[in-house]
Amino acid sequence: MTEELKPLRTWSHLVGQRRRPSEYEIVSVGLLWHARGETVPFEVEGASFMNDWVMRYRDNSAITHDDWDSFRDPDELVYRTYNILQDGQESYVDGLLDQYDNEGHDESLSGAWLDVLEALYTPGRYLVHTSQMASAYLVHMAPASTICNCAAFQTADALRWVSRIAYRTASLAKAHPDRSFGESERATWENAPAWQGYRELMERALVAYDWAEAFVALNLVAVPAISEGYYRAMALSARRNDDTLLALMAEAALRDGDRARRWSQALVGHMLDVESNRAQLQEWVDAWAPYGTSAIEAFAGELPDVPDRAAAGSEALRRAHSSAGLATSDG
Amino acid sequence: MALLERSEWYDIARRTEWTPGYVSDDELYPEGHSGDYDIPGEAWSTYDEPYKISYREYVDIQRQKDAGAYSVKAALERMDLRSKVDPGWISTLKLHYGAVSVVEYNAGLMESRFVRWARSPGMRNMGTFGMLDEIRHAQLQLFFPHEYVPTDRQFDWAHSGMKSNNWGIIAGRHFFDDMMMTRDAVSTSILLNFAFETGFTNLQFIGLSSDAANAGDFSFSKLIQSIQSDEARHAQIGTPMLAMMIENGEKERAQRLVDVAFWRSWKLFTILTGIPMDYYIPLDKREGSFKEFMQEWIVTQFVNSLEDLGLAKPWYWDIFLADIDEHHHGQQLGTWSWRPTLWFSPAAGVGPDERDWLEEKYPGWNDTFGKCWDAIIENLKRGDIGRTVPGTLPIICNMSNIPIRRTTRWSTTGGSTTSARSPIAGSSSRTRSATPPTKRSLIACSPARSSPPTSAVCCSTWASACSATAVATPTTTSGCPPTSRVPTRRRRTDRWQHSHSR
Amino acid sequence: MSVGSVGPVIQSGEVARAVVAAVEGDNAGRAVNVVDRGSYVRIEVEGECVITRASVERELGRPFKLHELEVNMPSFAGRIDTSTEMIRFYRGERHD
Repeated sequence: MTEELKPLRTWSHLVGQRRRPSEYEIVSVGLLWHARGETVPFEVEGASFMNDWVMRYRDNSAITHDDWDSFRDPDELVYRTYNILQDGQESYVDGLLDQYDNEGHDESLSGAWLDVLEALYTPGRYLVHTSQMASAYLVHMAPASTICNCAAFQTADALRWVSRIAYRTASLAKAHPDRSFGESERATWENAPAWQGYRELMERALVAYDWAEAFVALNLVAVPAISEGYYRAMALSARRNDDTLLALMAEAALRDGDRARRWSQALVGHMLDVESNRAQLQEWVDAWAPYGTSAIEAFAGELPDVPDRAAAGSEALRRAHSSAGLATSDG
Repeated sequence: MALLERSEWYDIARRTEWTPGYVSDDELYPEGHSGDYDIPGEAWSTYDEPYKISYREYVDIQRQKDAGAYSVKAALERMDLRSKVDPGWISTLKLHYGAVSVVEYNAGLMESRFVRWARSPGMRNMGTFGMLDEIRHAQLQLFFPHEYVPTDRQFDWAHSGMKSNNWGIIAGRHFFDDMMMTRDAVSTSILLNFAFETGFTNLQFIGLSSDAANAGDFSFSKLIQSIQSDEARHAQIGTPMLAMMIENGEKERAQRLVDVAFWRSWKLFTILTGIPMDYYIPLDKREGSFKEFMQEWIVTQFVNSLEDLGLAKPWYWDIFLADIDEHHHGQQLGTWSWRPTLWFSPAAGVGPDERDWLEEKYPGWNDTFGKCWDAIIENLKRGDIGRTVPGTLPIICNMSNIPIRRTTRWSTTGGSTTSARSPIAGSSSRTRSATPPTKRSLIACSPARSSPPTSAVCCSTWASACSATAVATPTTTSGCPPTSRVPTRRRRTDRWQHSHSR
Repeated sequence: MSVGSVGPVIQSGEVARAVVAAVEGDNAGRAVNVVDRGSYVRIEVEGECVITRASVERELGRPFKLHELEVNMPSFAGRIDTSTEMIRFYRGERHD
């Protein structure tokens, strides 16, 4: 028998680090056995569908890095803290819903604003659900578990808002049974001009198979475009039309969007460790940003009482790119 | 509070299917990810997840669960586990964490594939919770063993194990790559959620919790039951899919998926659960035998739900039932003998009292497996340690990637099982020529089809190598012909498959 | 465990005791069998097993949301049907 190995103070892969590893590092880093540098990712026959898919769209992505596992989520979220955070946030939203319900909020809304909610708010569950799906793609395609985790919490955040939009849809349908809340959203999402920019952006992002391009399309363009148009412009318009409940809920959603922006910028920074990645990232941003700008403009342009939001939203998207260390696209 | 009940808005939240206008349906849902099952478009929206939860409820409940699990850990933190509990229990923990923690994480990736590729929005939403659940399980099962690393290096395997080329890890990785990581979303929900999670995981995560509590490891007992409470919910992802497949003429394929996953799971759990329950856990701490837990969770509970849903027992049922009495005893002989290859120190667990218990739970044990241990014990008593460590390699099953084992009981009292004929074809209405490739590999790996031992050893290929009188070198590899889904062969110096001439 | 029985498996403790009592009340006329396995109890009712929120609250002596049962329920036998007021375990129609 061999001699007993000396105990370690932490996982062997973290021993070289000078600092004592945090709970985040202990439970989050280096968990993909299929990204350990073998010739094929999975221990099934080499010609299998998933081996081909993952080799092509993850391992042979144009964006490369020697050490994806060194990426860290700037928020260092772990599952436990995510639930604590979001349980608190959801209690806040419950409180809002309860308070405004007691005040007869839904009955007090004007007919003109109810038209806006039907056309531009409740169909949004389709939009947010597509970002749920697209985020989930990054979860199983990213090359490091620390990236997968960020995408996973982003996926869950999207389901959070799909659920809250559905809740509000049911609530509005109850207060206004003569309207089409809960019935017309799919047709609106598929046909109304205000939604087609978002729909094209999201459908195309969903079939951007290269994981890094999917990340650019989703996190550098689509998620910010949803934040700027569907949530921020909507919040302002809602406040100006006496729908404070929606304004506060949309702003709560923006807090999730802010977290998405933080890890997205951190990941771009990580990618830019390798200078040769810059040109490809820029090429993708330039290609995708126009879809984001069109989506914001088509959507925000139809919101009442916020004439400057379309331009401001597009500007915010450009700022997001420059603060991530990339050149702004003319979009 | 005047809030809406979940049921008032829940259906709206899962009506999110739309017709793509800018990309094609095939691009949005490629067959390799979304499945090629013959289920019409409108049927997908009938998927009705039976175990419903909302995001709001989820973060509340899961926060409560974590508070419970972490507080038990904190309360017991000062306890020096190593001085308080039996070494056999420590080995059980090491085996568990090394084989489970990182797998859980990758199960989260599997669930995320449902979120992207499943055609039913309800399944996409349930997959989102399932994905979070599995991240929870990975993080808990990395955080808990990390505490032991400073006193015991072997616990490092909880993190590093799954990337190694240890033989047992290769078997596990091949299982999960095959069942969990590389199939389409529909198939995976049957293989993993239905067969693996509503069936076999109960053995390890609930059955073993009783032994853990008895052994004084309340932290682990609480932890694994808490984990299983998530599984009970998200395992239900597969059930409505199974119903949809049956309703839409895909019953045969559903049955085949269950048959494949059940057999592969069974083999894996003989090592993961069977060995610890019947050999590592101190005798006075055992809640029941592995066989008894198998009867409770698999033979009764799982089969009841299988038949309730309209499927049949797997076609190799009789072989499986006989295997419950035997298989893990052979694997115990093998893993103990090849102990230098393990990341934990296996207990032999065959003292006089333990043998009485084994004989009571598995009548005939003393005359079969017991005789192999007699030889090992003789060698140990003579101080001839070298003869207890094999100098040769076992035959590895080409599908399960674990050693093939065999007892003489198989050929003499196993009824239909002699090596000369195929009892499986006889006991099943299916003919071999109609057998799809994966099923053929099951036949190949069944005990009856393995070749007889080359010498008169009593137990297994495993045991033959460590018997006192003969070191039997396997001379044939016909026990397990190549299958259609062959694990990637990368020649390594540290794996047993070198014994497998190809 | 008998062939036709359904019902929850509950972690031993306060909730388990309350659920056993609740099941006995909610399923009057059906035999309730409880198997104690140390760290968990298996509650078995032939054919169908109903648990109502009202009964669990009565047995616990405090408010209880049925989805909280998940915290203590690592498994169950049979099919499940969940709503805010009731959880039901049952057997389906045979398909063949």
